[in-house]
Amino acid sequence: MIRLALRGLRARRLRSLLTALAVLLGVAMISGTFVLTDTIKAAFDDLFVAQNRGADAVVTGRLAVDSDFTTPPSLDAAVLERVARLPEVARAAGQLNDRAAVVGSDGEVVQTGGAPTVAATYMPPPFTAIEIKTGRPPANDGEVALDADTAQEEGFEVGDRVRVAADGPVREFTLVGLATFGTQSSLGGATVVVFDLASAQRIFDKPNQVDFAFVAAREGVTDLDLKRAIQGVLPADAQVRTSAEQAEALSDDIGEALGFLTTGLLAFGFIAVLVGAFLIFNTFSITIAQRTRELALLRMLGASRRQVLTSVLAEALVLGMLGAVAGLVAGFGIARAIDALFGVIGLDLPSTDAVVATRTVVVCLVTGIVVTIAGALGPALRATRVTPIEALREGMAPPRGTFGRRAAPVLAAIAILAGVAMTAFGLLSDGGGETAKLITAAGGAVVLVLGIALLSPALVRPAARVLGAPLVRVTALVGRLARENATRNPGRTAVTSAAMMIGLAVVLFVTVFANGLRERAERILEQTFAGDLAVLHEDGFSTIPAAVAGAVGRVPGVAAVTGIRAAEAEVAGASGDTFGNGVDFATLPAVYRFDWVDGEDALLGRLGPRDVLMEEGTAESARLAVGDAARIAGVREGRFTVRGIYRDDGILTGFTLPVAAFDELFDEKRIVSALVDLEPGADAGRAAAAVEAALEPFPEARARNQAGLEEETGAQITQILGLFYALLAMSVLISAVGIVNTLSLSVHERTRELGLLRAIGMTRRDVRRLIRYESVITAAFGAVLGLVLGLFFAWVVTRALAGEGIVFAVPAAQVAVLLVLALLVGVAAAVLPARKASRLDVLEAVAHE
Amino acid sequence: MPGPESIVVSGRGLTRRYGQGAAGVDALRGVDIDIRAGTFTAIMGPSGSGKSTLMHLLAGLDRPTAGTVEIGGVAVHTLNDAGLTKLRRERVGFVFQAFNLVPVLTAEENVALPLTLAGTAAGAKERVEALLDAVALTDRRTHRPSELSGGQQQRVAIARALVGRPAVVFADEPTGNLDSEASQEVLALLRRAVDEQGQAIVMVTHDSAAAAVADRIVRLEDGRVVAEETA
Repeated sequence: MIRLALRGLRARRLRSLLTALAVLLGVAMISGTFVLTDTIKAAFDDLFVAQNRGADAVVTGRLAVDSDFTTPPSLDAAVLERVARLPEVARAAGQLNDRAAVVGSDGEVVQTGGAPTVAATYMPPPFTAIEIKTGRPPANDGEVALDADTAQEEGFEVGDRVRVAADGPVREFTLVGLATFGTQSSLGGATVVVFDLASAQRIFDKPNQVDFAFVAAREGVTDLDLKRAIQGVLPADAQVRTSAEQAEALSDDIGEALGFLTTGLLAFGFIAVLVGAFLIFNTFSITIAQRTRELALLRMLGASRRQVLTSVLAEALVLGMLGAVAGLVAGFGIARAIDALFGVIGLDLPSTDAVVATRTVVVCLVTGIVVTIAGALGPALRATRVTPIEALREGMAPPRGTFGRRAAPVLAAIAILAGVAMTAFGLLSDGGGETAKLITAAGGAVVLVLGIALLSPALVRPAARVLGAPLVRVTALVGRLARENATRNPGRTAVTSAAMMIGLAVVLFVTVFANGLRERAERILEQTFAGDLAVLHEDGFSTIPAAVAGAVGRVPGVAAVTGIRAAEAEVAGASGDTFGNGVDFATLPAVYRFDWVDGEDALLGRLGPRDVLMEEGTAESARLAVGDAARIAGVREGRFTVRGIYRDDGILTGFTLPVAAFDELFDEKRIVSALVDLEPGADAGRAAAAVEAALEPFPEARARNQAGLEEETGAQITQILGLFYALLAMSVLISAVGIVNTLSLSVHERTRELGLLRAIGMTRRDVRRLIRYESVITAAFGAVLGLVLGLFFAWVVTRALAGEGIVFAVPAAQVAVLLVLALLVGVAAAVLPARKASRLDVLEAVAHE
Repeated sequence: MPGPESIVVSGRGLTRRYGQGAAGVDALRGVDIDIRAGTFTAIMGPSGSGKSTLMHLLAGLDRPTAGTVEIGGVAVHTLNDAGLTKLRRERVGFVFQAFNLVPVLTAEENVALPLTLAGTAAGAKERVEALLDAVALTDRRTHRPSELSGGQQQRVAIARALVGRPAVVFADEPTGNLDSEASQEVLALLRRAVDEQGQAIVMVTHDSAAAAVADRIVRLEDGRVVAEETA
């Protein structure tokens, strides 16, 4: 029986390949995800280890909050000296870190996607954090070195003059060296400007300070001993780690971020796999139906039910393994593709040789096998129910449903109700664990999809009548035949279109959701931004020097400027990290309108240094009301009284403190934006030009008006949407393969019938049209169901997030385009099968068994 | 192998009704029949006479509305699916009008199929070779059905039907798709199996020339036996 299975696979080569292809694509997504994230993690790990290799211990400022975005306090040089004098210490060197901006060869500031531009200082060997590969390290405050990647991209060479903005107006420096970091020629894609320590201390106004102290131990001193010794001489706001601990801490941070990325990408992989399962179910169903006589013959000759089941499952197993192995290999290509995709949106992640963990191999093989067996199980069980007497019957018996006619709609109804309930519960209920609710919602989504899939055969007839109507109008006979054929086997049409349904549902969901996000962002800006211009970093979220506010304030026509500082903090009781803001409440009202939940504008004049205003989301999360005490931890901790609650998820997110209070918690001197109010009656155009001129020394800053801001937010969301589309392309591809598969099988099945049509005079063109129309009807059916599902999911999720102000806004134009694309997929899928159908030799076809 | 003259298949009061009440069709109305070892029985009749139905019932492929069937002494209606499967493997052989062979297996493998399914490897190879030789297809044993003519396919089918030394072989219009030369070959093979091996064969046919090869002709009309002729 195994031999029979293998022979069967070989004989039906094309079908087998298409089925294996479905498995391949789904598994490739999963393999690619793991390979990519494992490789990135390995690259970062290599980087951290290499960087810390020269040192045995690292001293940094201590933060009250565990965050990547908050600058730790600097260390006094005196601390460094104390450490250097310890008997266990061979050498100690300090390093300064800060923000900077580099002007590229095109005159624009160099953008690095998610990573900021970092200023660092050089430390001589044995410390290896920064190594100069070409040229030499900077020696005075007229010289800098640049990371090798950025230099190469911008075409800078040693000896060139480069313009760098470092906590103030831009200046010119001489490029004297190119830097590398461990094994990489860039630090995770970020741009790094290297100064010498003394110069940096002057430029960044940190006299006698360092941010890191790297320490090398004397011969024979263990890392732990060193750490203990250093601990003894440190003040309370400093901490020491062995370099191994430091590398591990950094690695853990990256691991967490990558964890989110992995989960996200795996979600797309899962969708692709689910779609693949439908395809396998469909292919096997059709194949089993076609092999009814052969199976009946085997039963007649004495094959037991179990032997038949084994044979079919063996086929499935072989295909699953082939697809899984091929998918595993294809994953390398996918990993590269996703990496490139991220590069397009500006996220240049480091890489080394691809890492293939054992876990990846196991997951891929298991997924491939499980998916194939799961898809083939139903048809395999159906195969065992073939009775020997069917070997004697002429023609093909129409396949019955696995559960029989009556059970399916009931089961479908149950599944749909359960799915809706689970999804709604998971997303809309309060309380309960976040993870548990998310899993319930996701599970509910899958159950709902299965329910609709089960119900869809019943919908095929009425739907086909409607969907086929325009086709019948165009070509009466062919249109009618196409419509009849689609309804001939509603089960098969439904399952084929299921793949399209899932693909479109997800695409639609992200589209509508993204649109909701965009509308929300626009609305928030409209409500809160009362100023005329906003000065922000080019990339929209990095910080700019505080001097920008002063420079803009001096421009004629500007009535008021408020700088907003921001840093990441922890609010006791609130989940996750929160961004907090520091503002000057005297000048703020001119440029910002508070959307009060509990409070009033008159409050602003009465706020003292121990008062805080909370954003609605934060207040809810921490269960704080006006009058409560809030404990906030930044670099340092402090207690404040909540005086008002407002709604804003755009400009002043998290919470807002008066500047004096902000400075108590944080050391952040740079601002995240400067909001500008022009004099009433000022010429907007001229004032804007004047502001731009004032910003010349600050190349990383740009002024935008409200429309510009909205446009930019919209553009960012669109970019991410594009990324999602690219990731969903895999699922759409599988569903297209599914339609092609079904169509070819269907053509083969109807060879005699098609031959008959040709024999009595149907042209080749009409035969092609027939197949094409059938494909379009199937695609349209799936698209309509997908539309309903997608809109439902979008609605439920936006309702769940209604508290954050996301609305359910359907972008009609985009939805229409997507539907048309779905139909085009149907047309494209029909090309090959239609050609095959039209090329049938009439005589052969009519005599076909 | 049961001795000559012993009854290998017997049916008593066989009735088969399709559908209910007034719309029902009585394909068979109470047929008694005995098949003895070493005999060649032809069942003839016009279309709708119930001859195929009778054969399906005797072969255990269908259950009668009323009446009993015994194959090799075993009452078929007492068997469950597993039992029926075993019966088909060991005691019964089949040859149809068309589509007898599994397309992806060679002639050799097709002949061996009942033994492969039963899992009896012992002596299988020799038996298969002997039968291929008997049907004169040794030189074609590695060919697939698509590479064989209609007549050759039927010969392979006969070899397969005989491979397990069944108590009885049922043949449903075995010469229906063949030209006269191939038909004669097939009938001669079947006759030889009866004469030389003592095989019992039940053949349903509407071709009088084919029936002429048989020892006994049972004629059916309207679901009843109307005549019995002995050659």
